[in-house]
Amino acid sequence: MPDGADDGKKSYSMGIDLGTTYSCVGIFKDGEVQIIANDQGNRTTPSYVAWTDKERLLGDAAKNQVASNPTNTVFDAKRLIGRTFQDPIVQADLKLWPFRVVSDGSPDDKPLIEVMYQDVAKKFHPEEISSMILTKMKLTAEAFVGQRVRNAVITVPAYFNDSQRQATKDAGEIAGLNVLRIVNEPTAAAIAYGLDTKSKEKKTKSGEKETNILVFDMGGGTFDVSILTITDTVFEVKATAGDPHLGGEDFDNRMLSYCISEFRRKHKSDPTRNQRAIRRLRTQCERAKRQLSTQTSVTIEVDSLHEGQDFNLRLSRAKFEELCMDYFKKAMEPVSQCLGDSGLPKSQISDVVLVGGSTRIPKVQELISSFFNGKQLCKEINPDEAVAYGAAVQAAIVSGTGTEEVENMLLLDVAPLSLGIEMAGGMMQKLIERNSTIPTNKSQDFTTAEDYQDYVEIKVYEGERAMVKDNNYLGKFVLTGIPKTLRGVPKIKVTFNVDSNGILEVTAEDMKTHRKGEIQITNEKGRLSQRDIERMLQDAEAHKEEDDLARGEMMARESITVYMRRTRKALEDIDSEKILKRDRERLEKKMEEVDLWLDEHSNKATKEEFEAKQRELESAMNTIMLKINRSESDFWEQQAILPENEKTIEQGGYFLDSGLDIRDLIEDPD
Amino acid sequence: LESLMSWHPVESVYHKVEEAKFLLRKHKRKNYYEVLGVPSVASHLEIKKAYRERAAEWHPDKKSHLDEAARKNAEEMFKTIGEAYEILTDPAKKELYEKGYDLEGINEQIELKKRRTGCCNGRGGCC
Repeated sequence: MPDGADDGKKSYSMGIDLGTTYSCVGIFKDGEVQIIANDQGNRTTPSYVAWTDKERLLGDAAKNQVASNPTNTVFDAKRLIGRTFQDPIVQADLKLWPFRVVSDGSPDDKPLIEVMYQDVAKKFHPEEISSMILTKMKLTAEAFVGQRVRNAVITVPAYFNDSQRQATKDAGEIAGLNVLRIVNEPTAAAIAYGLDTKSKEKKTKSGEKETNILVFDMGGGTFDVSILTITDTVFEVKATAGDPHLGGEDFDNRMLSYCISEFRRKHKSDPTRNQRAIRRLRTQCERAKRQLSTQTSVTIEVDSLHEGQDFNLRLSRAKFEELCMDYFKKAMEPVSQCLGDSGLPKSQISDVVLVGGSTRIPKVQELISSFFNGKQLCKEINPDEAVAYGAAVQAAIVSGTGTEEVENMLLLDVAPLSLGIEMAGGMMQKLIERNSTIPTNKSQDFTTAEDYQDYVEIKVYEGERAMVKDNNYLGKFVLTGIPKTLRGVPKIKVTFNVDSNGILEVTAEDMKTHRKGEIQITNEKGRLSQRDIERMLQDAEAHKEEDDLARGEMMARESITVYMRRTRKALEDIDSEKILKRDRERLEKKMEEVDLWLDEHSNKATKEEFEAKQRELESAMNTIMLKINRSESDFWEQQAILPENEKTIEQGGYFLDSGLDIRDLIEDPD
Repeated sequence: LESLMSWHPVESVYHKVEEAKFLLRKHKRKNYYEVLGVPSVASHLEIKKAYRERAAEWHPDKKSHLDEAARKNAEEMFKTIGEAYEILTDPAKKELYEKGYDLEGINEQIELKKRRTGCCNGRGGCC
């Protein structure tokens, strides 16, 4: 059960927009969706993970140190997830990433990301990287509601294929989440739009009014177009199309290579191999791109970029558009395809909703608008948060934790790609047409191609092309034990079953013997096995301990430094008359010793060592304090001004942890 | 009857067999109008409306408070509703349905038609 109301406390379910470059988390609470700011106060968190020699960093902390640590800072996991190492897209991206990606060497050819952590090379699956980001989002949500949150709806680009969806679900499991649902990003955005317009109309127009909207979702790495029909409470996806590898980062890369070529031309030296220089330049390119959405020209400046040479370039919006024009044009193809699939004419689209950071680019807006004959575009919903908003609503629907209004809503999503099997001659026989409403199942009867054939091999593909070789291979299985007879006689029923997450399961049954074979496209190609997932889950938990440990150490270190400062101050304040010279010297010596120890060990010591040191210091301090107390009661009054919680003996006050006042214990004058 | 046919491969017997099979299947098939809860003379719009209502009722999302078995059941029901909607809103498929074909029959006929009109790719079966 997704919603286990434990201890009578309301359990929450969150919606996570797991983006290529940024992620966002929302939660349905007190009758509305809250988009949650992270510990840095940002409502979106960079999808970055980094390893320094000391600890693992997530989100903003990871992105902020990227220039100084490029090879151990991992991003773009979403561009790797559910793909093989040999995938041409992976091979192309590889050249642009500062971190190392290798093949796992197995027949599955999964990509692995390699980083150096504490002088040991560590390898991670893209699923693991994504799970770390999901963990970060989970912590953000938990800090907000003040309790554990396990249930989550995670979004994926509508055009993600089966392997990519599966892998994303796995990432959720590795992060220890209960993944309620994988939802398509444009669909989630449509919910945000639907609720927004509905609240505006104040439900004046009740009844069966049909509205068709087109969601144009272009983010950091992926691009989706969906057409939905909204009728009161039902959101029905009509068609979806897109490009799983097109977004803001591609524009950054274009600008980057332009800048590099300019640098080369001016300074006759090549910074390509200088990872740090490239990273700094890329950051500036990204910033310039954003500025060009509001300004008509910007200057990209990086001091001492490479071999002491500064970089300085004035870039106009027109030049930027020229650099990326082919991408922008490419983005219009799925729009017309989606319209064609939906069977709706342009004029029937009442609103075009823009989602994702890249839709802020004026040229992109101009192209869409002119595609719809100069139509006004809908920019009312927040392009960065709409997806997480919708996901949070969907989480509330699925777990039944929303308000009545929300729970009445229904989302009818579709399968983005046709699914089928290979026929004789390498033809693709589709069983499920793309844009079929899910969940769904379809069966078809097949037979043998040869006389006395006693088994069939069923190969499953997804895609739109006529030949299977042009489509994406998902997996295969063999059905054996078919009674030997003439070709064409056996009847084999193949059933495709797509669940609400868009994930496929295939079964085949010989109608004579009722022998069955099946695959959930789970343990096939590129997918992690259940054992892998469990192992990673353990790794992730160990990592968490490590992180906690690091946090504990940091706190202990902080505590001892603060204590040192206070003792010093106290020592200064105490009248020299009231303290024995011998005692003062002893304490000062002790402090010096601790100071030295800290200098030497502060990066290596464990939490326990810090605490032990602090206790040594405390006991030295306390003996002196006791002596002073005997001669000077003023001091205690001074100390009494300290707030209650600072008065325990550990902080240099005079209460023991047990709440006992040490003054009561002072009887014996040495 | 079937064994009779193998002894008397006469056309009339063959037709009788086929007809009997057809009637059996017609009898067994799901009544899509009942699934959607609409009269058999319902208009396209009525069917659409009924579909949305039924879908809203049976979508697995709405059943999350129930146990595993009930949810599976709802999912099956939802799929049937989707099937009914698909057939009854596609003119060609609806026509075949009215003639008494069941789902398999409809798909076979559609496939046949496709092959007749499209380029003739001989279907060799599964390999």
